[in-house]
Parts: sequence; C-alpha cells; structure tokens
Amino acid sequence: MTTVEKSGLWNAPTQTARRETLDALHLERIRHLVGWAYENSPLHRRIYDAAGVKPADIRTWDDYHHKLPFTDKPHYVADQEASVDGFGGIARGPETWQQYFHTTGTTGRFLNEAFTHYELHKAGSQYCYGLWDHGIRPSDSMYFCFDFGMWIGLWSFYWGARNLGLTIVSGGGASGVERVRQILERRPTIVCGTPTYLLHLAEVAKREGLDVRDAGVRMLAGGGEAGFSIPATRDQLKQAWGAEQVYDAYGVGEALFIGQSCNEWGGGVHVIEDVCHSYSVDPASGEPVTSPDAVGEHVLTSYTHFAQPFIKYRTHDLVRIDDAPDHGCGWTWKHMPGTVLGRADFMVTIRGVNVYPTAVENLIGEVAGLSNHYELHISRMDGMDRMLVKVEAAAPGADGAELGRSLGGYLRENLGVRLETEILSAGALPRYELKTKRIFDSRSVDERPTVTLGDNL
Amino acid sequence: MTSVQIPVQTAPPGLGGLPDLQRERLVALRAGLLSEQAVAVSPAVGRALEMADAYLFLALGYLGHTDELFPGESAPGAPPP
Ligand SMILES: [Zn+2]
Repeated sequence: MTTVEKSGLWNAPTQTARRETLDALHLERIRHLVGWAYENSPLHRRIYDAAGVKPADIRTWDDYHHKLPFTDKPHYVADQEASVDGFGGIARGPETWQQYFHTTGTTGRFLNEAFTHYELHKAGSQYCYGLWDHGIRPSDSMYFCFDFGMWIGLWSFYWGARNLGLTIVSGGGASGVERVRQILERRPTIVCGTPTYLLHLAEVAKREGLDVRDAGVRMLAGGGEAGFSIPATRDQLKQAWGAEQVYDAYGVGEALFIGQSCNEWGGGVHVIEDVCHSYSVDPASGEPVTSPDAVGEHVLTSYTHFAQPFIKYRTHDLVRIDDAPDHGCGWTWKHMPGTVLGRADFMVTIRGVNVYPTAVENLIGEVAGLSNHYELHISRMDGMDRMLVKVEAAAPGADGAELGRSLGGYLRENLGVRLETEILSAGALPRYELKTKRIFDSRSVDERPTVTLGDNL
Repeated sequence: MTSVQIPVQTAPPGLGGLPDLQRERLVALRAGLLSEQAVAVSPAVGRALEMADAYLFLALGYLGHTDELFPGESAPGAPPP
C-alpha cells in the first residue's frame, strides 16, 4: 500500500481547509458559474434578466443571498415542456452529453437530466470522500442490487465506484434469490440498494434457507429513502446482514447525492464541498439560516452540472447545517445532523404543532414490536391537517390494538400531538425494489404549507 | 452570444503550500495536453486525449482550481490560451 492509499482522507487539502478558504473557493466558483449560466442557458438568462441581475452584480455573499434569484424545479419543468428536445435549463447541447436520466415521479413530474462524461465522474467523485473515510480502498468491490434504469440515484453510486477504483458487480436483471446467491458467491465488500430492499433480500435469503451474513459484507450503502439516516433501521440492517458499516448519503433528485457520511457518522452527512455549495434559508423569508440548531430549507449550487446548471436551487428539503462540526472526523466541511429532517412541502401542522414526517419515521423505529414497514398518510379535513400512521407488526399474530396504543402514546409523548395509528399484519404493505413510497399526501396544492422564501423567487 | 460577463477575480483563492504548487504544475501539464489534443493525428488520439483531460481536470478541481469550471469550457478542442 502506498503512502497515498494509507492517508485517512480522500482529499485533505480541501476536506480540512479552513472555513474562510472554503468560502472563498465557493464564492469564486459561484460567480464564475452564474456568468457561465447567463451566457449559455436561456432559462437562467430569462430568470436573471427578469430579476434585473447581471453576473457582474454578484460579487459578495450578500449579493448571492439577496440579489441572485432562487431557482426551482417548476422553472426546469416549464422549460422542458417548451423545449423541442424535452430538456429544461440546458447550457450545453446534446452532442456533449454522455448520459441522461430522469428524476423519479414521487412528487410531481419527471425532470430530464443531462450529464457530460466529466460531470458524471465529478458527481461520482463525491462518494470517494465518505467511502475512503470508512476504509474502503480500490481493492474492494461493490454489488448493485438494481436494474440499471433511468433513475440516477444508484447509478451515481456506480460512478462513485468507478472513481474510487472498486470492482463493480452488477445484480441487474436478477431475481431476489439470484442476487442473494451472487452475493454469497462473490462476497462483495459493499452491497448497494435501498434500505427496504436490502432488508427484503435478507428475508428472501431466510426463506431459501440461506443467510446473507455468511457473505461477509462489510458495508451496506444506497439511498432513495430515509432509512440509512434512521438509527433503528441502521441497526436492523447491520443485524440482518452482519455488516459493520451502514453508509448514509443524501441526494437531491435533480442535483444528485451531495452529502456523504464520514466514518464517525455524527448522526448525519457532510456536505461534499468540492462538488457543491450548500446553505439553508428560512422558508418564510428566504433569509439565510445562521444558527446550527435552526431548521431551514436546503438551497444548493452544484459544481457537477454545467450542461444543465443548478444554481441557488431550492431542494425543498428541511435540514440543519452545522458549519463547524466537531465530532472527531477531522473534516471541516458542513454537517447536516439528521440528514433530511423532512420535505418543506410535506410539513404538517397538527393543532399548531409542526410535525416533520422524518421525525415520525424515527420514532416508529423506537417502538418495540413494530416492523420497519410503514406508511404516512397526510390529509386535510375540515381545514385541519391529519396524519395517519400505518405500520406493520413485526411478528404474525401480534396484538394490534395493544401495539397501536403504545405507538400512539409514544408519538404523542415525543411530538406533543396525537396522530392516528393503524397496525397492519406483517407483510401487508407493498415492497418496492427502488424508492419505497412511504408518504402519501392527499392535500391539494392550496392546502399544503406555503413556502414563499420572501419575494425572491 | 455576447461577451462573457464573469466578475473580475481580484485575489484568487488558494489552498496554499503543496496543493497550490501541484495545481500550478498540473495547469502546465494540461496546457501541454491541450496542445497535443489540438493537433491529434486521428480521432482516436483526439478522443483519448479529451478523456485524459477530463481526468486531469478532476485533479485540478481537488486542488481548488477555479479558472475554469469544467474541461472544454473555453471552446472545446481549441488550442490552449
Ligand atoms: Zn464527520
């Protein structure tokens, strides 16, 4: 092993740089990027012209925060629908694209996404910081539990694996049982999938009289759902697979995974500041949030998207950002405890109390006798938000009424409001291979929380 | 297209020490690579050098390079400035 390979950090020069140095790099990149987008993306030029902003006006952080308009998915979708080629916010033509994808359709319309060869590599590079910190080296391997389709989420892990130099093992086109057998035979270091699917595979193995713990898998990774951030699900995954490590990453559908966990984890992910700039704003005023304890909407500028730039882009994710983390990993990069705390659009106000679905998800995992399969149903009745929590019992024949009482009581104790609960028998809810749909919001657009970000949109 | 309106950079941010020195060496290396790409004797050589540039640019990004955002930003295939 060379000296470089022994280094504990993937890229210490930036990963341990002082905040002032990082911010100076960010501002330089953002200014440059705004100029690029203004000249090359008709969508960005329209948005900036409408706001009366020229790239030369963006010189300071105050300019970035207050003069530059936010961008949002509807801008891209409208541009996509008006375009001849079906892509929105494009700054480089199709002749430069290596691959394209689209977002999953869990919230609203698909957005088509275009990437050049360099951009996919750059986007993939972000995984290396976290994986390297967990001791993953080029001699290791990664097994992919999915068919390589149009959803970018797990594809981006593939580019991460290529960047780090891992051996890639594809589980595409295989059934659950076949995947279990391949994993037992190939013994990959890492298995990549959604949390729900990984738990499902462990169950499939059991039914076949096999045990995935025999594969010696060291790390479970993936995304698509909150599970890798939820302590109870992390424990379940470790136990089911006999894995030492569960890798937590944070992705934004339109702008890729941009947060990765360090080996210390620290209850969340670091923003990969080599690939993006990240800050959060008060959803009502659009003002930057400055306290590490305050929850705000995450706003992103990507350095991995130039064919289709994302600048000061609203993610609608609610996060906390600590810009001076000290949990012992040595990284100076911003940290998001709890990763994503909820979607700004899914926030529910019940009898005056703001309830974040992720908080509910965390609490479900702490109630004994319940499984990790659940759904949250949000609705509006007589002008009031309601949330129904449906959870499967862990074991067949469990006392549903008793479990419902303990869940209801536990949620009320911790959230300060009573939610409706329904306990289902084990296996009653659907299983998904890709993103599991857990949150069902039947409120109309008008009934959802208004997120205005001041008038700067 | 009108002229590019990139705000003037006053003091370029840097990571200092060895990272800055390596970045300077890689910028020089890249200039050589781009001149070869511009006079590539076949599409095969040209494309291979274009891909090499993408990898080299990743290294520049790790070292805090901000002069360009991505390889090919200043007219793809053009000779180096
Ligand atoms: Zn850390």
